[in-house]
Amino acid sequence: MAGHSVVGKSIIRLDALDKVTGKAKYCEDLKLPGMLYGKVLRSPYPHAHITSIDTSRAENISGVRAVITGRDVPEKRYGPSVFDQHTLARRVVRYVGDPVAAVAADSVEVAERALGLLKVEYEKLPAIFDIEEAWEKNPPVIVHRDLPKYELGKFPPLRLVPDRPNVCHLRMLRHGDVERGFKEADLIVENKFTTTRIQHCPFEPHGSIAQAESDGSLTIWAGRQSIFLARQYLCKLFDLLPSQVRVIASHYIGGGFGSKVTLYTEPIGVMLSMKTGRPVKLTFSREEMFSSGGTRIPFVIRIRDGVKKDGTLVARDMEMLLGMGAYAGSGPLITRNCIYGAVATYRIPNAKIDAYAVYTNEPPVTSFRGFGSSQVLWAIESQMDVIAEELGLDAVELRRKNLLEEGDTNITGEIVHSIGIRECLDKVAESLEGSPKSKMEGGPWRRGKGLALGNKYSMAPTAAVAIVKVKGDGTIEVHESADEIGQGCHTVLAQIAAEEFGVSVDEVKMVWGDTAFTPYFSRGSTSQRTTFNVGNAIRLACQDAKRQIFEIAAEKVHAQIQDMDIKDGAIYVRSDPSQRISVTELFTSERALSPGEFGDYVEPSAEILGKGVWVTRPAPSDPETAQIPENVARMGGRLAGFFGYGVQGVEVLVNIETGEVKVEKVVAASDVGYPLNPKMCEQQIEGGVAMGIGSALWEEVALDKGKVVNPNFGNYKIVTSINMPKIENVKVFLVSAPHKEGPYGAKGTGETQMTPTAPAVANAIYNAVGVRIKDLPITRERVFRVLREKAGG
Amino acid sequence: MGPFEYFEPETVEITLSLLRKYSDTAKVCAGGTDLVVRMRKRALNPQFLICIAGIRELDYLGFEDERGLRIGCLTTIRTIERSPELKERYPMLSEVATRFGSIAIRNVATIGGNLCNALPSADMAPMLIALSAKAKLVSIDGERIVPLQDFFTGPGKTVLRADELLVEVQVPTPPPHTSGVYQKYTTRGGEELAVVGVAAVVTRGSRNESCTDVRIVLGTVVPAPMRAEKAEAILKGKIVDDEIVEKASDIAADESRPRDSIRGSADYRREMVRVLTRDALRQAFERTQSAR
Amino acid sequence: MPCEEVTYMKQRLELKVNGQTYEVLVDPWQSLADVLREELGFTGVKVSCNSGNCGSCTVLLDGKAVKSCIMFAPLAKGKEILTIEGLATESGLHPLQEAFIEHFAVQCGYCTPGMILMAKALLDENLDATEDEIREGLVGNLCRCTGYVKIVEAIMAAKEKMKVTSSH
Repeated sequence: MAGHSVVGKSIIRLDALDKVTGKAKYCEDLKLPGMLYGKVLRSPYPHAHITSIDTSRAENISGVRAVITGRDVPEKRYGPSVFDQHTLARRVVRYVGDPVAAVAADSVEVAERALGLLKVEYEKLPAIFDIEEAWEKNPPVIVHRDLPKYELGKFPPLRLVPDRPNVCHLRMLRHGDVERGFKEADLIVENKFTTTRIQHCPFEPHGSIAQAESDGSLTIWAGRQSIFLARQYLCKLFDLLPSQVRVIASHYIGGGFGSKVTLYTEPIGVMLSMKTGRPVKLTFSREEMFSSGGTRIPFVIRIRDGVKKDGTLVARDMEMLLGMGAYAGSGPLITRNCIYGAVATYRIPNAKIDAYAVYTNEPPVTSFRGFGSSQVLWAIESQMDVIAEELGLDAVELRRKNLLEEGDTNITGEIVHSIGIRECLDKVAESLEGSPKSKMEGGPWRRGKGLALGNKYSMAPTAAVAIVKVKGDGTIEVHESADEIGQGCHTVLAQIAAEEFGVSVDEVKMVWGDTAFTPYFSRGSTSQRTTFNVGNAIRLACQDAKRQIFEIAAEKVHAQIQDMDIKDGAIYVRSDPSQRISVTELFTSERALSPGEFGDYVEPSAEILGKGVWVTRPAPSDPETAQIPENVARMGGRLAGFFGYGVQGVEVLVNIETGEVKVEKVVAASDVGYPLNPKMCEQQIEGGVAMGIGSALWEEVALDKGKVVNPNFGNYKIVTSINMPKIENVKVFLVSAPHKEGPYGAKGTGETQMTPTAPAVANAIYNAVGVRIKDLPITRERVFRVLREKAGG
Repeated sequence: MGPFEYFEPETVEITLSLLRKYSDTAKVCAGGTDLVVRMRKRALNPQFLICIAGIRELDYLGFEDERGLRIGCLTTIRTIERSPELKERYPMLSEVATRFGSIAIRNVATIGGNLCNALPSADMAPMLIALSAKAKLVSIDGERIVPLQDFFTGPGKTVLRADELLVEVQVPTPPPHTSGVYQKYTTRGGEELAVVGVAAVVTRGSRNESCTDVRIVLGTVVPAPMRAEKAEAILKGKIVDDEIVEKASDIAADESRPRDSIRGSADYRREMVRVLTRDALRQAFERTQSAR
Repeated sequence: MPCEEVTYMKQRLELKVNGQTYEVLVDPWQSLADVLREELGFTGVKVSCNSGNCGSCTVLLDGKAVKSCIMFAPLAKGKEILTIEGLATESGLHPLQEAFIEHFAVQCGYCTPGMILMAKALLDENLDATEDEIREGLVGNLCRCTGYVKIVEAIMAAKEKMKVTSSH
């Protein structure tokens, strides 16, 4: 964009130097004096009564400082939406991995040894694992018998379904008249798709250090996403006021991808610290990450589409069951929001969606990059290719025909704004033009290409606050509370502040991550909201600080405030830039220093403190239909902050003898609104593609009667360096459909990127070998079996 | 992990007396790449750990006319992979080494450790068996030589007694016109355990195209690496064409005994035995054309 | 069942890390990664999987890459241990460090130290490594953020820089 000097440029990441030299500190690297190490004993059964716990032998080991069980924890339950979980199980365990007891000891080794000496007796209860069976009206097992009596959180407002006792939320969308739509259709296509559990695999496992202070307050150091959400949850659980809980983000966080929003280690750490009076570090092992660290929520999706012969979509009916596992966690919120994945891309006159949040006795799920949209788009984008095939239309043309455009109304009644998906589609389709749709290669190999469309909203409501301090040495110090989970948010945010002050990012200092000192950011760096919301707050804070500076400077240079501007540390008069004064010159010190020395004090306010507040509010929508009132929509009322869009195309090779799939080429185009730092946008896209390929082909937290059987990187397969196409075969395009509220038009982009990958791979496999895989992941064995069935073998 | 008592014997003799003393309460650690993981999971809980990594005399790779190749038990997989002489004389063995773990694992993992852990998926065993390798086992009482084919008795089980140490692997010089191929099948690629492993070593007649000797050894899909002897039998002495290779592969698949596991169902793995055996045999025969 | 009363002796161990010699008392069951991080403070050694699968804990022993989370600490006795903290010299960053910064090969940073050291071992052995050879050499070093695109780019770029330096 013209006229910008810092944003829009691929500024080197501010964290890179620390990270390549080993200086970057993560929660796992912190040590406090007197610190103990906690470890958790977990249930070996998917559903059981705890009949007794004997802690005496464990307590007698030298070096063990505390042992706690369900008897020691608050009677009240906690949770982000349904209050259904105890810090440690009190009477009932509901999944393999449910925390039962915990130990604090002088070392991890001693703590682990003590766990081995805890004696717990269980009485096994029948358990339920199948999502569809659990959803039924008379399920053989009810996971939470007391669900109707549980306290429910306020967001999202929950709708229980009385005759489905394992359902804790039903989300409905009704738009137009879906039955009439099907009557008008020339073709009705119905399919069932499923997705499996995948784990985020952040390289730094969940961890925190908890310190119960002597005045009853708590201090927590945590490697997590969203320090304010943690504070809110901890206040609720321990009956404390916000001022009594201080959450400090470790400087850097080794990856999040949604997994670090939930409280995993903090409450147990707090209990152990309360008992010992000492700081307690609790870190998950990699095995615990898989069994108890949250996974993506598995979906069962029935999709039924009505289309005209020419490809026009006239009706879409989706029924989705979301398997939350044993505790609701963010399951109900994902259930609420997943429907947005079906909202943002296509024009559909008649639509009906029901999404159910279902309990089972499997490990609890949590938010995951895409927050339901990836799963919904797995079904939709696979289905679009099925429809194209049945109608004899080109899959790209079918999509083009139905795309929403700026100003259209989507199926919630929202008026579409900032939609760059058509340009993304054009770029990808053009880039893949030279590739054959399907082709025989040498020996058992077949080649195919396919593409899919993706989108991801950014959730509202969101409130972000930023404070900008202009220092006597001219430094712009920005205080905010975004989480550095690897996305490089503070580099982009520094670029924004630098742009506003006309300086380089070297003159900007970012301060973040302490609920006691840095300003509010409601849900932290989740839902790709940071750039948009915190970025806007910083812009406003900069403007506020500049206004104060201009006021002071205007008096000194005898000019009008509205004529002032600032660049490179000097305030000047626009009409006569020779009339200027440096920021440093505004400052003095209480004891007059020699000229040239930096002062700390500025008349009359002592400090230049700019404050910016940005709130993204969602439009109200009808709980029965998810529709936004027309008048609200017309005034610009929106479901969410914005929608990011992406289109991805892949070329694959499929081995018809073994089922092996190789991704040979990837083309990814993404509408980021405006690329504030193009290289960092590419980082998100390439990383999203890789995670998407992993989720498409290998990733699955495999369960046997509720127990994770592959809880390590040896058997849970993430993408390696040889699974990605060569550098020259990864093409990334950045598309800009500026958002009117985005900072410089920018939208967030981290989550959008893996939403189209899996269906693109499935579509390419179909084109290569003619088999449609409807269940993730598309393992070699699965491809092999379906090929064999097709051959009638 | 732990607690356990730790020993660092400086000689084989001391090692053997420690082994005699502590017997099955002790565990020998060579590189430890596999051992550490299993001990951390508490799948193994030795009371005594005898680390032999410092006994440098056990780290060697040598060639003798009579006994062929001799590999000291502490020789790393990386050394086997990169030895120019081995590449020349036993290219099939260097090739197996490249399929083993990743470089950082191969730098530490030893041939002795890989064999003694006796995982069904261990990469080195099938090819060594196909090359008629033997293991030299020593104890205070003396030494014995055991064909590797008879060394493994089940998953994690071998004929090695608790007071014995595997000190050397001996691989006879392959006859002229012999080549070997290891086919490893995994679910993703990269640093992975085999889902199916097949080693095939083929010897061609000096003047004709017939197969004078063949060894097919299956890994992973059997409790312990095993020769597919029925498949070998139908190939021996025959002129080799696609048809007979297909037939031998079918038989090898029948001989395999895969179980359902998280890495693949039994049926699928059996099918992969067929494909891999076929590919291994084809490539091995092809290579005999240029083998000296 | 471990015996509760028995106490085990710690071992005295001398380790040479980044050119300096350290004497530590360790439990024999401590891994090299654990000793480097917890006893000696080299927290640039990252432990992510603790089972030898991910490579975050990669350090160099006498120039050879090893996964320090699956190595008993005494095995490093008498060897030159290089951690990420020792890679830069007084004259500046190593070309790989520079390239990782310039090519945006860093995201969350947890795999970065191990990745850079693995790449160093690869390039020290073969300055003519192709893209395929580099990818093959990195299979034991996993990354969850980047998709490896920019990592491989950075290593290819560092290789060219190192070639120039080594030909001088």
